[in-house]
Amino acid sequence: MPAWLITVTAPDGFGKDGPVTVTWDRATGRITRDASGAVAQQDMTYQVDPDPRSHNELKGSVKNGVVTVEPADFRMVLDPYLQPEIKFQQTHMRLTMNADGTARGVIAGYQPWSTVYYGFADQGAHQGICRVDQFAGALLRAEAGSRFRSRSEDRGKPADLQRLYDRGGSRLRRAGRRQQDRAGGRSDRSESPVTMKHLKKTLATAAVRADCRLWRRRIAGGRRQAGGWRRGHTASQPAAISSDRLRHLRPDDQGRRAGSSRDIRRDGLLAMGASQVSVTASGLEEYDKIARNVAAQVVGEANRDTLIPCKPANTKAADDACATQFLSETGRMLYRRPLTKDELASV
Amino acid sequence: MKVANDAAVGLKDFYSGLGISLSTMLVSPKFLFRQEIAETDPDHAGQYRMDAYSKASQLSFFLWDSAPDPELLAAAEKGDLNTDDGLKKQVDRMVASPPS
Repeated sequence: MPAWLITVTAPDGFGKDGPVTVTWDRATGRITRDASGAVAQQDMTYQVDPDPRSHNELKGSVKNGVVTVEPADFRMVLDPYLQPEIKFQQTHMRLTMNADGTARGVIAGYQPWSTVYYGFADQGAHQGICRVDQFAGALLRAEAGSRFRSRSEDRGKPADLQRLYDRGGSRLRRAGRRQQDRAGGRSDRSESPVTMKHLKKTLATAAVRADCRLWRRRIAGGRRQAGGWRRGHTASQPAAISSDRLRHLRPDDQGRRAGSSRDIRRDGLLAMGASQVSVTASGLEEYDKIARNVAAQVVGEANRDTLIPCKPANTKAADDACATQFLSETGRMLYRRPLTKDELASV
Repeated sequence: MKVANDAAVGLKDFYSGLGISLSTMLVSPKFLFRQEIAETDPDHAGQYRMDAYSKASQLSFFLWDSAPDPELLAAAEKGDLNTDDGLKKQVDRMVASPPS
């Protein structure tokens, strides 16, 4: 997940108590950590994500070096695979400014359940870290005591959640009973196993019920798109990913798990020549993993006879002629033009 | 050849060397990004035009959403894409037959 950028502005200075403005933004890149991976590096530069959804300006005050804010709305786009966004109401924040330039604090607020639920329902179930039916039940119980129940934004949602739980839950329970009947085991409703087939149906119900278009698309599209490899490619995506010509060079399962990061688009368009159109460091790391995986497959014993047009005189030594033939032919397809002499000499 | 040969010698395996060379090409900006290269335009002195290979890529990613096939690259190499007839022929072919 990208870094979050916090800016505290005190017009009267931090030396005395007074009003402050706190802005929260999302960066385009991940937080930079030291070699241990535990400590965020100081004095790093980040680029602010221009997406206005993740820009927050909170009014507050500083007192004895502690910044607090007036309750307000707070929104931050997160990872659609885990939890789509943070959308707090009545946000509270406390940030203690330390003499060494660091700050430590906490931010909290009330959030509609839907975004939390979808993250768990999708990823949690796939990873086996939560039971969707039990989680829906837990949300229901929390919802019953929620102070937001009568707010217009959430009006009607408890009933929807109840329906969703009833439908999904009964389906899961039925599935569980069927399985246990077949196995000759005792029927136990609370322990009904969740199968992928029924889970998908439940998730589809959830998506339609909440009219959440993004999630409905993902669920309807199935898991084939996991990692975003084949579909949805756009003008700004690297040619490599959208190239059907190179179908046989797609990574195997291991490589696919490395994933591919989403490329940066601005206003839905590719900005020609702009610094925005680039591969992030983490993105390149992923490309590198995929590239190694694909290359290993190409030269692997299973594929080399079909994908490499020649055989070396000695497999334990360099072979100029065969390497030249393979790299110039493959390079021409990969770069979409013949390699120059220098390029061919250097690869 | 340098990467492939050095790696083949070091690893004592021709195919491993080739693999390392291939993986460097797969992370090259020349592969990951579509570069557009200009050349001087012989029909308009002092002006530039896109070179034939860049034109082939543009056509291909626009019409096929994929990289150029060998025939399109061959047409670029022969200079067909710089003539109206050659360009028309390739566009007709591409529209009529999407890549398999």
